[in-house]
Amino acid sequence: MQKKKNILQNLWKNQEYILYYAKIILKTRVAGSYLGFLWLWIDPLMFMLIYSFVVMFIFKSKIEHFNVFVLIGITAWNFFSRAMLMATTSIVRNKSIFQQVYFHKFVYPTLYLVSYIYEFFISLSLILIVMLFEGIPITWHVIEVIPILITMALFTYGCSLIISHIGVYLFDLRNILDFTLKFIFYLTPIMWSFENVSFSFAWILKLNPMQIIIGSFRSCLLYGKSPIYFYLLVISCFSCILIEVGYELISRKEDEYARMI
Amino acid sequence: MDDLIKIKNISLRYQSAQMLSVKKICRKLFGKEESSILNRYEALQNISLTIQKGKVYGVIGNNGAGKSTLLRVLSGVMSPNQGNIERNYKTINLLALGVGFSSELTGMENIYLNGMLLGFTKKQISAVKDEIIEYSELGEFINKPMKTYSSGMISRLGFSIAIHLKPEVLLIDEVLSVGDTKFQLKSSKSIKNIIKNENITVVMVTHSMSVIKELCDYVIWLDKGELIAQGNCEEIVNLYETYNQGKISISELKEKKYIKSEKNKQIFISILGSCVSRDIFEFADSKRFQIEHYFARTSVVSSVSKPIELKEEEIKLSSPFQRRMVLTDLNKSYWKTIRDGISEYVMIDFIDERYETGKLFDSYFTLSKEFKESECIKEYKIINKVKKKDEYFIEEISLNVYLEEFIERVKSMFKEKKIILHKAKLVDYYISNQREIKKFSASHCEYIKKTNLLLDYMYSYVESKLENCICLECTEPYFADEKHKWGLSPMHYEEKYYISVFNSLYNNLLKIEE
Repeated sequence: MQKKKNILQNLWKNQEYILYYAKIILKTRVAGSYLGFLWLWIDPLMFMLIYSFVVMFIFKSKIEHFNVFVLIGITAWNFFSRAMLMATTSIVRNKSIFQQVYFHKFVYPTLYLVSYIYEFFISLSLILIVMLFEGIPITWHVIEVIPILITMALFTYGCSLIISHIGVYLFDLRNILDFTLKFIFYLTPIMWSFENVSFSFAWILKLNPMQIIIGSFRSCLLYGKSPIYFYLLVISCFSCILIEVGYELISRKEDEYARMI
Repeated sequence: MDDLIKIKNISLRYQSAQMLSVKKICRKLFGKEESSILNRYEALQNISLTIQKGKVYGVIGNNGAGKSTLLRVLSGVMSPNQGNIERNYKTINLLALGVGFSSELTGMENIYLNGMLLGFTKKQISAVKDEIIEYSELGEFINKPMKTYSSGMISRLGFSIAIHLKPEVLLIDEVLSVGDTKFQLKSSKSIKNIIKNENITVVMVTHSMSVIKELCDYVIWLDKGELIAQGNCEEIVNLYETYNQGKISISELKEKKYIKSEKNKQIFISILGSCVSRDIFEFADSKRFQIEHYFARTSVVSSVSKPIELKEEEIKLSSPFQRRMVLTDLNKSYWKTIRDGISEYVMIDFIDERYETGKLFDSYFTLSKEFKESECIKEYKIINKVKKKDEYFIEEISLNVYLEEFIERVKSMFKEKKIILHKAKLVDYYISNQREIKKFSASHCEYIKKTNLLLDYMYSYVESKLENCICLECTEPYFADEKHKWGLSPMHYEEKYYISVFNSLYNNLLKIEE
């Protein structure tokens, strides 16, 4: 009954549901609260203010505009790590739905990702406000955030598809991923910069795609320079391979998911 | 092709994702037995079925039988571990209530969510959302979050969304038992309308036998993942009831293999008896039995004598039915009519036996009231009944001679057919219009007693002479009932009687049809 479609066809077919549900996820997050959707702005704003405070008065650093430096990194990292963590249970938690209705299970990691993209945009707008506040000049390079965002989204998507598949079989994955991501967080130059710290194995850390992405964000937002598109292209191609692998895995094994008790 | 879905040797196993865990390893080390049900659960075992277009299937069975799983496999939501499925339809839907409902959201948002999961587009949902809200009777609550709803309201909303699905094949999983009584009636009515009007194929899981008897053509009975029985509605429901009464066990059923192919033919029966036999089919609603011919008001005596040819116009009776009855009695055309018909079974009872006989030349005919009134034959001789002890003599020839001839005639004319002997008898109580139980007058009771003795005699005679005839005993003649179709004679029975005779008939035929 279901012929194998490729991922683009399936995305197109399910787009209404994915987009609608992504919005619903955000609504659910703030449902019932007094301030409602304002929390989607206030949350990250508070977060940024606290970080700025901590960074400016506690972790003094030689890096210029350290708070914005950190905030960009953290915003991008949050997007990635939250998407990954959510992916581990994204299919499993919705088992009751797909045991009654058929659709391609890849829809689940996808829509959580879309909801995080929405949140990223919100945080990005707040960063711009903070930048204005700090007096950092906003150049036209800000537009170049878009391709970087696409790259980041593709990379996260590829990883989350694979993770969501594994997560059906290995419930421990969430815990493993939790501290792994924490570890990689510190290995990524979010709170520090390559210039200020030196390692002998720095070159490995430079291979970290998130590092490249965060660096690119910083360059076009903070420093008013274009990102290095070549790196982004490489990451994007790599991500497309990941996406294809993840999608194939899910396509092949999705029959089994429904049979898992 | 009429086969919409064909599944063959389907097996489905639920598996636990956690094949290994520290806890299990420890248990093994300490030698404790691992319960295998935690790891694997055989939900369906080797099931083969065909779903045909336009028919309504019911799925019954105890809890854990695999009914919901079967529906999921049919709908394509789950795929089996083994076996194959052939599909030949355009759209199918599993009527899933409230799939994807999120309690934090409002009813309206959930309508979209659920609708999109069920396969509607946003536009389609917007077009019918007012209808949905109206049907669910939620009113203002539709804009409040679902966590404020009662469970009945949630079910109502789920149902009112799902009812708008119009697929080619509809699978219903115990949906008719949600909500309060008022809503259950409403939902049953909607489902029935859909089934009747849209001519869709339906497979429904339900525990309600009344729903199954009313709506279903075929029934599938599962138990612990295996197919126990499958066939026509009445057959399987009877079996199920027999099983529930403890009269038959699952292993016996499996041995007997009540799994029929879908080509279940209709059974045609001709009746050479009385309206008591005919009324069995009236009160016990059956889709499988068809009455091909019905002849009443004959007697054993007249049926074996030579026919008298007469034209219908010569019979002066106003009712066309009575005219036909008298004509048939005179020219005995019913023998040939039944013989040349397609009925496999002929049902005989003697309760209409007319003991007053007239004789014209060599021929006898029953002297019913209508016959006398018809004035079609001016000259005939009335043969008087002569009572001698318990035997009736007609023209000094004993009844046995006529019975013997009757049986010979039956054997020769109905060679290919099987005889059902409905041992109907008269009742000496009746229920009045005011539902009081009344006995007939003493003289009438005397008549009834003697007639019943005669009937007993005739039935046992016939039974002994006709091998392999199927006997339907009326073990308890219930009281006569106003609802009886002819409504006039109180010597017929209440609905209970007809239904019990029908069940006995059904069970008997089941054994033969094997």
